[in-house]
Amino acid sequence: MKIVKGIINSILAFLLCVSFVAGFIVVLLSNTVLNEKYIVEQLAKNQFYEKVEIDLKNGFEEYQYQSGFPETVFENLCSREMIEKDVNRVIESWYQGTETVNHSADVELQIQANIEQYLKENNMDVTEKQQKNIQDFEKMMVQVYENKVGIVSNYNKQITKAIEKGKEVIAVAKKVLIGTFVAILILTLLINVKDFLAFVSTIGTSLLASGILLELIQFVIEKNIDINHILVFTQALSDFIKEMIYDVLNKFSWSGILLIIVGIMSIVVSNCRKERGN
Amino acid sequence: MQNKYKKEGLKATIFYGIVAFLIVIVICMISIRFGKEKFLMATDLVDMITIDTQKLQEEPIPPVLENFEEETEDQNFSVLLNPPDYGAQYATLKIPSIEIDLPIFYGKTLDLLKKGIGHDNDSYFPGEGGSIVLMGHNYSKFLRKLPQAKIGDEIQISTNYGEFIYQIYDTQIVNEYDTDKVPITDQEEILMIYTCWPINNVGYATERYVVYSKVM
Repeated sequence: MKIVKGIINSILAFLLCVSFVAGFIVVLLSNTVLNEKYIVEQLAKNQFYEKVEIDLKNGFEEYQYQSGFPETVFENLCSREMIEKDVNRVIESWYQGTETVNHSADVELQIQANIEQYLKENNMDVTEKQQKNIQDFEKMMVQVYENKVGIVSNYNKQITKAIEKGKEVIAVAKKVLIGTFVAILILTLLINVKDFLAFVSTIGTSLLASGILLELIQFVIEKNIDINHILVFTQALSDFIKEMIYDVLNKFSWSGILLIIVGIMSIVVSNCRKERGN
Repeated sequence: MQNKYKKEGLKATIFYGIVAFLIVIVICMISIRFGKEKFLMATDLVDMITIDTQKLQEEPIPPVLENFEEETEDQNFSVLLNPPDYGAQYATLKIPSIEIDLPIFYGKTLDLLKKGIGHDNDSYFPGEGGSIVLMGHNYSKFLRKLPQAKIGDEIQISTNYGEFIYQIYDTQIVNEYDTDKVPITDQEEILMIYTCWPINNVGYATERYVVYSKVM
């Protein structure tokens, strides 16, 4: 009977461990990658807006040589606040499916004003063709701005869809996992109804196994993926993704250590109590 | 009696510890059995967006121009082995008559054009026998003087696999979308260098000034 109970408890510990790890991953995903607030916090923490500002400056500068305009024309086209607001609006559109509105009209007005001032200061009369070239150039500068603050402009719709799908899956997974977890917990309690310490030991075993698994997952990911050298679209975005992966892995590591400690303590304490009881 | 219970407690602790490790092993085995392929697919996907650090540490292998001789002379061709990486500087462009001496980078992004002359990566390398397309901004430190070059002037391209000298035989002003005017073919080694036109343009330039030259 004791052996049978031991086997049943081991199976229950296995199931508990699976639901612990799955639950941890689900909660972690919904609190990090699928959480708008977390993303915005990480963007600020990684100086993403500052990096986009530098990227924008370089982007405008790339057109300076071919435009024939001096540096002054490219000054004050956008502010840090504008960039921050527009980037956050893109994030909002990803998570809430809202339409993105940005400050590109302001950028266009500013570059028009700068060009006008330059032409006025240099007493330059422009031909009709040149006027057309200037308008095309202004549109190009607006495009540069929209591309840079749009983060991954061409993929925004796909990202919104992926996040929506992810949220749906996570919501279902949460319900299923909570149900499964409660059912297994009740079953474990019922089996060990006369021996509460065995119940604690079973929980402890599953916690210990879950902790080891979380550590293993973190180890395998770090070993197999060269996180430091990920390059996606821009340096700013790559840095942000790297930091986010490290943050998530860090959470795996700390939670794993915590679960291992709690698991070992539960097993040791419950068996010491058993000794004392006997 | 108390010793016996102590032993049993220790035994139970070890038992639960072993069970925990067995659970980990079983889950790992199940994951490897059913998730290995997906994991490898995911790592491959990440590898695609990861810079190859090993390649970064390696010394670049110098390019070599390899000649392949066929049965008839007109079928002979040359291929540049170990071509430069995209974005790497591999040559210099000199047009002595208008005092142009600039580095050539393999690629045509605006980022590269900020540093010097770009080499259209769809075109051939000097010595390969096909058309070579180079471009640069019409800014003073780049190709502003290009329209001053005359038919008959010499153009030199120095690479670490050889020196190539061309002679200008034509110049043209073409629309930016008129790609037929800068054709890429393997029939003849024609060097085409272009810059934005007009030189004193303001705004977005829709025309290009092209200089055509042939191997001397």
